[in-house]
Amino acid sequence: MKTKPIAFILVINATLLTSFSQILLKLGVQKFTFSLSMLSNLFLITGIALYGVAAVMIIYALKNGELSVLYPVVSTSYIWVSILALFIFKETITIWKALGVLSIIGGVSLIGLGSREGKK
Amino acid sequence: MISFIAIIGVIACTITGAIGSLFFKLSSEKFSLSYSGILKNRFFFYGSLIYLVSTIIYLSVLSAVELSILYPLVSLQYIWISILSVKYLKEKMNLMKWSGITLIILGATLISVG
Repeated sequence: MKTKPIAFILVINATLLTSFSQILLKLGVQKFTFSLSMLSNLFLITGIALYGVAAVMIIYALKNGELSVLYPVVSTSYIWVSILALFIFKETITIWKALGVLSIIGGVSLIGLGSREGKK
Repeated sequence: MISFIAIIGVIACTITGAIGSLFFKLSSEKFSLSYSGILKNRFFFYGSLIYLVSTIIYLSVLSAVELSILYPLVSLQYIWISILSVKYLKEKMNLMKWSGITLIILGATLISVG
């Protein structure tokens, strides 16, 4: 099965969604005061809902591509979560994190390139 | 101190997660947003169950393992997926794809340790 570009796009977007939902779930699970507990429920519900949407997107992507090629794209979640953590939790970027992000981008690219082999 | 059991837990969760993903891939052919596409889809049902187990294990060990160990271990799932894909989905691995996986595991390690 050849992995179509739309499948890559779906998985990247789904992964972005799951990264958002991970942040939402993290926020929703923290102990809030009674007056804010409704808010934390909203975080939880939205987080779970986003996960569901992402899951459906990934299955549709899998209709059009190989598992061993598409699934590693999910590793870009490390990148999204790092970026989101930078802005929302004010974490700092270190040289190691930057190198890690580059390594993951390189890895996903290699897998994408590797999936094109053999179609001669 | 990271408990040995927690590490086993993470590895178990990656293996079950990989198996769940395999089932989702197998479910994708018949999948659609309809009754028959979801509720009558056997692979989707079992895939969801297995993935749920994986998530439960993950949440259980999450508090017991540092992120710097967790992320790299979790990234091992890409190895399991590659092996399962070759064995059950007739997909092919090659040097480029294995190199890509290696870079991903390296990247995950750098991000979590850095």
